[in-house]
Amino acid sequence: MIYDKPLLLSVGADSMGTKLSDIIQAQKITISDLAGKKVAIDAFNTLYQFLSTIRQRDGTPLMDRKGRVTSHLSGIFYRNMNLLEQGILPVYVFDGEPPKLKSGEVERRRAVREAAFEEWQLAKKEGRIDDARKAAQASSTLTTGMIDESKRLLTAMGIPWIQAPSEGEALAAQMARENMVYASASQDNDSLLYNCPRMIRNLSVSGKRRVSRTNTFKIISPELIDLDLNLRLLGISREQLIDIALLVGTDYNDKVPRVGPKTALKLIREFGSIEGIIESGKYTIDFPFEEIRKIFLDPPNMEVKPFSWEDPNVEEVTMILCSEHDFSANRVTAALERLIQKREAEREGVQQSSLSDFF
Amino acid sequence: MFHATLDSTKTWKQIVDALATLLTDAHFVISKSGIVLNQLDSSKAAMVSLNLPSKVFQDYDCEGEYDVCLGIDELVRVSKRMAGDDRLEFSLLKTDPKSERFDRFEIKMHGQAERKFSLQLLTPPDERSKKPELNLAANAEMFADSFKQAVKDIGVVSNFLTIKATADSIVFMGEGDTGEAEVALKKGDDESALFDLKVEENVRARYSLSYLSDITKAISSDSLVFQFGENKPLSIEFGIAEKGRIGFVLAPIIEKR
Repeated sequence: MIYDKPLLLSVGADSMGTKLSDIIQAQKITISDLAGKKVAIDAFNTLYQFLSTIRQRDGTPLMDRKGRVTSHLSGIFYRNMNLLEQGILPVYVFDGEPPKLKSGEVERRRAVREAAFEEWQLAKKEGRIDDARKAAQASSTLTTGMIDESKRLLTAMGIPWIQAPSEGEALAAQMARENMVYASASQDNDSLLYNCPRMIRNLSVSGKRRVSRTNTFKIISPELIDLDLNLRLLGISREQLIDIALLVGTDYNDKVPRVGPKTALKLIREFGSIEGIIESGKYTIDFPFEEIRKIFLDPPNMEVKPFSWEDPNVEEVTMILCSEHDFSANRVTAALERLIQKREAEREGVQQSSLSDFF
Repeated sequence: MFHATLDSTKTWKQIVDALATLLTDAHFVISKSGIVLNQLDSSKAAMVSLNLPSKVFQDYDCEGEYDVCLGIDELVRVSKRMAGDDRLEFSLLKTDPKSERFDRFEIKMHGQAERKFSLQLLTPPDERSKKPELNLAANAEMFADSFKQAVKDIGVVSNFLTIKATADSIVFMGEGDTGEAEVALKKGDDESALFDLKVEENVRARYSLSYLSDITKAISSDSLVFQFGENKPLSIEFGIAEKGRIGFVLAPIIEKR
């Protein structure tokens, strides 16, 4: 499944980021609540979601006739067409150089992926379909070739993308703070640590998702997380939220044994900071917490040039998807034409209504 | 258990073409009385419905009721392999005889050779869509070809088709940056393509031509019935294989809210 250089900084979709969900409150929203809004999307995080979820039942990813993986292209095309049709304006932010401290995590994830790949092949051979699917998802690998292709497809679709100096979430958070976008979309709570005022979860995975090991589906809907509201509810500062994250483990350090989110919250409320906890003598901290804190508090800043959304270039999109990767030309051009028509209608001050308005 | 035969590959191809205009997968409900499909397209702006009573088929045998979901691309590809005088045979199969569920839809083509394609069933949606009850004030029956021509005429200047109905006429109109176009049909004239017209009150509404040109391509009968109301959906229906019906419903273009 790997057709070019696997990317060193790649991560596994479900194992990434910081496990703060237990103490963070999210508000369920609908896609239409976001109509007309600009949203920065964590590109790597989203591409991983596509690679891991857009698969056949036995875990085999979508592939073209030459056997090249196309799950990421399918996701980028159909998910974004869906967002654009609903009037949402996505801008993708790609990761740059990872912080040096991440190398341990990168190695760990690579090992997990390789083991998962072996397990997938074995489970498939032995006919354990559910095991195969699960292992295949964990083996998802994002390659530099896929990233370049994704950028090319985004450009052809008229969707802007930005290359971040380091972590994509950090730049997306900066863009949300500077009101260049309404919110940052990621599955990863790190966005909050980077001081992102509003974060959206499940934007590109909303809809039905298979419940693991069963043949049933659950409905995933997008959620909005308001940072200030959460900090007020928790009665802590953003700096303290970062310390909590460090205690429960981030991409840059392992968790402190026997400390989950709720315990971490209690400790930070009691002692104020990791320094306070160390002074209390209750726990020893064996990772460079000051340095990791700095990754979140002081990420490389970048001046983001103005970006805009263009009408899709039908020829270029069909070239990439249909000529090069065997997508159905009918489906692709129909979706593109509908979007172009919708944009034209908007310019004329009218819109296509939905049948659900009438019954 | 489900088994049916159909003598006309043309009918089957017309059905598949009609579904392929709007859908990426087709969700058939197969029961004793026949095969039914009612499905919204992904944008929820349009709906396609299909009603094939068992009489459409030469042999028809079904015990129980089945939700059969198939990928449209696969259906289209298989349909392209059908020869003009093939006789078709459809059935539901199990790859694992011990399983309770059917997991394959088999299409057999009897001609110079006996060919069979079994298509994997997809997971059906949680709910079956129903055909909506719409109270539409204007009801017209006309030559399908004249309707198709009107759609093409208005497409010369506009992206939208406005339809206006009065007691004795139907007018198709459009306007764009380059000019205006109009096609008028009068009732009662022997030459007219408009066979029948019932209008409760004067109404007008506007529809997207990109949808309409896709939909009209799928109309395979000589005549069609269309209904619409003031800024309400447009319903187009036509017959297939004498006893069957195919219908489309399209939501109107409205002022931006």
